[in-house]
Amino acid sequence: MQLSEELMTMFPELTYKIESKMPDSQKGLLINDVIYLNPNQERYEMNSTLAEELGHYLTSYGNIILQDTNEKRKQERRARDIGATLVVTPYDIINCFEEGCRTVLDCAVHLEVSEETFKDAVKYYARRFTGVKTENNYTLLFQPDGTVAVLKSINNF
Amino acid sequence: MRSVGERIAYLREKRGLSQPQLAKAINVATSTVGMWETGKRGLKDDTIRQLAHYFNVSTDYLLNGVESSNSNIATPKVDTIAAHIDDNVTDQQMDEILNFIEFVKNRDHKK
Repeated sequence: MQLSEELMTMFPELTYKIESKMPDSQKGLLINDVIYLNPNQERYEMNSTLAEELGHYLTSYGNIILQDTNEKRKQERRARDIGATLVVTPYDIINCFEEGCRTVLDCAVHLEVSEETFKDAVKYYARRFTGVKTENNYTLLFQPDGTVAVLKSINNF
Repeated sequence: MRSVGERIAYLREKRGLSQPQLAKAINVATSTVGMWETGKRGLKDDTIRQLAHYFNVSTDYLLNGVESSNSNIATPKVDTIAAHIDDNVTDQQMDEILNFIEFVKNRDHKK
């Protein structure tokens, strides 16, 4: 299953519509429980757009199209962050490491999201945790610049 | 600007409810409702949420009397609308986007 389909099945209560008439400079739109997507975008971009709109669905309130107040900009930031964490989980980051990804771009390509989304997720994790240690001997160290170090220990310490 | 209590009274009367009826609906004493409405007693966060849910308004409306810049008190329930728009769009592109959103709203979200 493609990532965008996986995301849609995570939220079956929503309606998803492809809108070919959407202006080029707009990629996605959420109105209540309907998500509209512009088909004229790369697959990785589509995944990031969809994740962000889901972030809005989960966290936003009111009409925040015009980003004219701090409160609306905060909502936008939160939606992007929460959306990013849907498509870039700590386990996804470990998976990137195991697949031999070395740069943010490598990771973004591997996970089929935009670089921006990958960095947004890591920055979000960095604000909340210094690092995460998993039960299978990985340690993730999140950096505020959106990069992440993955350590794998051989011994259980 | 009216107070939180006055807005509760306003919403209650709009529904044609008496203080005892509202008190019963949200499971508090009638005197409590009276004190809220006259500002003699404050409301807990959970109560504000409960009242907002009961009256089908936002907690924002209950607290501040406003939803957002372009809606009015008569229709307190607002839509959630958010878009992913490229950085640095021109005014003309923004107009296109706003028109498109208006078009979709009218097509799919007519009340």
